Amino acid sequence: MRNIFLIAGITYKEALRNKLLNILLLFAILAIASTRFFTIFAPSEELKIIQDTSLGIIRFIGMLITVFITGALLPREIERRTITTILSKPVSRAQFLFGKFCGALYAIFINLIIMGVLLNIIIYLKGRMFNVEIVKALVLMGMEFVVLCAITLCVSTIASEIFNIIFGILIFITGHLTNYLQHLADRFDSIAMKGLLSFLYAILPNFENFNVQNAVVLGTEVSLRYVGKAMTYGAVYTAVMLMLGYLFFAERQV
Amino acid sequence: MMDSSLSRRLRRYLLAGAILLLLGSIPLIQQSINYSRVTGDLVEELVVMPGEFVTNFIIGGFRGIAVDIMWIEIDELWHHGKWFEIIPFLRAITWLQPHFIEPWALGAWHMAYNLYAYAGDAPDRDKYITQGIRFLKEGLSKNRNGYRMWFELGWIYYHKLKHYDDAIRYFRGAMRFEHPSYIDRMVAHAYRKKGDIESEYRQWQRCVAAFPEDDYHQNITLRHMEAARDKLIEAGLLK
Repeated sequence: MRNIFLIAGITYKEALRNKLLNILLLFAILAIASTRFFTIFAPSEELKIIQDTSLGIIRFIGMLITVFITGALLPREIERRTITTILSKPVSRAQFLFGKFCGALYAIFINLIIMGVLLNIIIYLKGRMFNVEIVKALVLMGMEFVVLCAITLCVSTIASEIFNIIFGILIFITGHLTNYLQHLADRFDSIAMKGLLSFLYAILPNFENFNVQNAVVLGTEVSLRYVGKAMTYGAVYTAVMLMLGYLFFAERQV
Repeated sequence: MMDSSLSRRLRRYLLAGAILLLLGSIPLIQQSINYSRVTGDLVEELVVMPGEFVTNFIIGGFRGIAVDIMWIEIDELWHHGKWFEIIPFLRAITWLQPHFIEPWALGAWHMAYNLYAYAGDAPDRDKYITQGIRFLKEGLSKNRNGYRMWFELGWIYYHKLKHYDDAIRYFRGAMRFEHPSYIDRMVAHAYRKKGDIESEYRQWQRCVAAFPEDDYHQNITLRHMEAARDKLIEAGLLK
């Protein structure tokens, strides 16, 4: 356990030193803080616009931060050969991989919390209210980043940094389109095509499970039961990706 | 050595088995989530095609900014008298933010009132009212759970087309949600314009009961109710 914490701590510090991630966070902060200026044309829907725009910015920048942090974790260690030094010590590959995952998550969550707190402050200043649904949306978004982090880490055990980043972004977009596969499957007569689409629907991550942005903006209450189910889905998918990543990593020559 | 290799292989098989087991459970969890999304009113209508969705997604949180830029463009076009060129921008805004009421309401008003008037005596000027109504109906299909879109449609039927039955239908649709008091009064006005004084009188009575705390509403309602009652007495329908 101590090894995992040590590796996680080092990974987190490395992420904090990454200039690109700091710039992304700064950009997100500026963008969220300026949402109030973009409400001039719909004075009756200011709060809606602030919430919608800010949640969208957090999801987009959070995705970039997740992919950029996680995509570089293993390839850089392998490139610099620091991985051989670490693995020559009494550290198992599973501990190394899980430590990296935890460190990346730590950095991602810190960024998410900063953006989330800022959004809540802005909402409070505008509407003199605290929206619990926003917190639920942020929690689900956090789980979305956990799943994305696990997928990118799994791929990074066998691929290069650039490939990981591109793959991470594409899987994120695909994951938000997964529901279309189900609708497409319903429209095909061919059993083979139906089967293929249903298989893809079952196997691909469904990031829409974590997306309650429109519901929150429109004032629909998101039940805790739903949040629980989405969190379970995220935890299972993350476990699968981490185990798969370990299987690949265990076979890899470093 | 052999033992260690065997145990390693066994561990991997076990891990692979666990992966398959967990993967098998994902569709079940997904099914349960889908059910919760339907019952919890979290289902997003598939209002756009995947290609459009990707663009929308990439714009992501910045769609609010993109929409504002389009509003500025609309303002420019307005001041240059390019009224017909405004329509595609309004369409784009409703595509980016389908759950925001203002663009639907404004777009329909622009078509049914401004373009209609601008068309002068042209034989096809009525088509702009139809377009405005179609635009509002599309907006209503995406925003059924609030009074505003129902009211906007009712208003166009009431004020522009003078189709009072349709107007009453949509005003009543608006009344199913939390709504301002003037919508109740609009139903009564629509009955009056239609010439159905009995229904008008009954509606004024309902109006009195609906917002007892609202003094402004009570004053107007009582005045109109009295007038309706006088008409009914005059016609011998009420003693």
